[in-house]
Amino acid sequence: MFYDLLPQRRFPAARAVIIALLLLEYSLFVRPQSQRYDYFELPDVPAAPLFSEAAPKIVSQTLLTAPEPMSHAAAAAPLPGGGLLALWYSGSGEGKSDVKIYSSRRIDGVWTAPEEFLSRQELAKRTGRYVKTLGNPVLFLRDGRLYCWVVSVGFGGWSGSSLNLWVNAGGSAGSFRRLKLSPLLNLSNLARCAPVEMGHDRLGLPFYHELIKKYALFAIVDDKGRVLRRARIPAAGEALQPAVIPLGNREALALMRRAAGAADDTIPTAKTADAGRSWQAAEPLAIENHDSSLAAARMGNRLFLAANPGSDRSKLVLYEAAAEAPYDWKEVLTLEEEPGCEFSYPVLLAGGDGTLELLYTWKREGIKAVTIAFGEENQ
Amino acid sequence: MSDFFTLFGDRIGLVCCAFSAAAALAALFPKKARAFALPALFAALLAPIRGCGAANLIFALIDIPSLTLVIGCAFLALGKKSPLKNAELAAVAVLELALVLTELGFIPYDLYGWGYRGEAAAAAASLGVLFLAPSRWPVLVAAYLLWRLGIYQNMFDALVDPVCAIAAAGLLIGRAFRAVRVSRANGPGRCGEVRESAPPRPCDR
Repeated sequence: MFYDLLPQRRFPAARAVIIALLLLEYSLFVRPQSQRYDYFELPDVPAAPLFSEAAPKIVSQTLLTAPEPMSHAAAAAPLPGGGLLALWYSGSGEGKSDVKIYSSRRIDGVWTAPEEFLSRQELAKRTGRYVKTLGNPVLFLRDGRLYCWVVSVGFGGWSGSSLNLWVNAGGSAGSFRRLKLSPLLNLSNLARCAPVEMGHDRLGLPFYHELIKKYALFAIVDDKGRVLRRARIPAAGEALQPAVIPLGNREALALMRRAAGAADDTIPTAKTADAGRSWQAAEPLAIENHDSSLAAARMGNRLFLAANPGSDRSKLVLYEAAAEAPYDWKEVLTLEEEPGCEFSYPVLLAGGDGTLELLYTWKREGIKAVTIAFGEENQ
Repeated sequence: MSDFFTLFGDRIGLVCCAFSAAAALAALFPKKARAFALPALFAALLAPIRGCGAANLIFALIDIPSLTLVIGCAFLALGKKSPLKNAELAAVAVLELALVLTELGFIPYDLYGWGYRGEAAAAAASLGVLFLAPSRWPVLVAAYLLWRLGIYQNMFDALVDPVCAIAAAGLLIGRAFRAVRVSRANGPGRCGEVRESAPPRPCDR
């Protein structure tokens, strides 16, 4: 039998050869990749005055509505040529079996009509697994290759989620793969915020765990989406949905959503000084945020944060800080404020033309896409 | 090598899952019928009913089975006893328990994260071949190679999974009960020792 092949006592030399081959393979192929110096790729944008010194201005806003009663959790990525691709999930309700991922593209400043991007049946067919419903999409585009992570649920609720990766290099249907991120039946892996660009064609994907205890994680993945490293992002108390902003080539700040039921409602943070290989809990931000998702982005030497201050999701505010002082946030723009309504799950993108793209759930009826310009030339 | 990861990973995982389930179910059939039952069950599990086969449901539930579970199911279908020693069964159960406890956040340490790292995987395979389970070197080497190919995304997944840990714990408990029963039937002996053919005592005649 397989187990009894070449018993070690009879063939001690075989064991030595096997170990030699293993070590040779490791030192030739695995070690060079593993020992690579990880770093964050920072946008090459010159220093500029802060928003708070020159009032920001909304230059365009569009409400994207899918032909479904509920829309939630947008993701966005810039397209070559200045366009924008947005994804979100829509259906009769959160967690329902008719939920699909919808998409819309902004071409020459005009958003196309939302169309179906991915259904649970298609994902089930491509990953070989039963899929009950779909959840948050996460998008990233690099060198013409589109990375799309989609949360799916096979059994149970959100804590029974898994992450799927679709990589499309253009011109083909692309490849799907279920990511294995947990030893417990691969349950409870969710992503919400965009990944950060890293050197050697790597990406840093923030994700989180929700089963029994909630905590954030950070994975370094290669150009095919394969996980190379994984590290836990510690926080004071339970936290989820980390948004990571690079502060330097090796330093980054993770801002997280405080889990429901926590004693205080500040925004938990954590820092890394080795490009995401390890994280340390840091002081929370003095912004009240009760169990609401947030988004963060970096543009040059400015950091932006979109969050729901207060005890509910009826107000959405844009904050700004300098990269040199990442704990000193100033409120620069109130985007929405209407008691009893929900304006949540923002996604922020720093545009190459000096604008900021913000998409968020608008009353669960649609996704609002807002372009914010700043600086005196835009006033 | 990692093209395997995106091209074949899930397909191979589905086939392994269907094979393990079919082998476990085939063990319920008489020995002579298993040669026919195994391929029939394998095909039946993969056959789609309204676009989704039973194997797809099991795959969604347990994900890719570990190499230990696949081999264990093959042994079951062949009607052979598990070749794993008690210490190895305990190691499988304890390792999975440690992984689950750290993953659920009860222990603030990312043990599972080590399984993605090349140096940790190579060290585990080498140490295993050298010291921990030398007679299992084909399994350890196969686990390392399948991890390198991307079939298993984490080295721990190639070695253990929750189903095989539960089976290992069950087997261990079964062996312990059997040992106690045999020991009681045979009279005083070394603790935990199983005597397959104990000589009849005068009172048994």
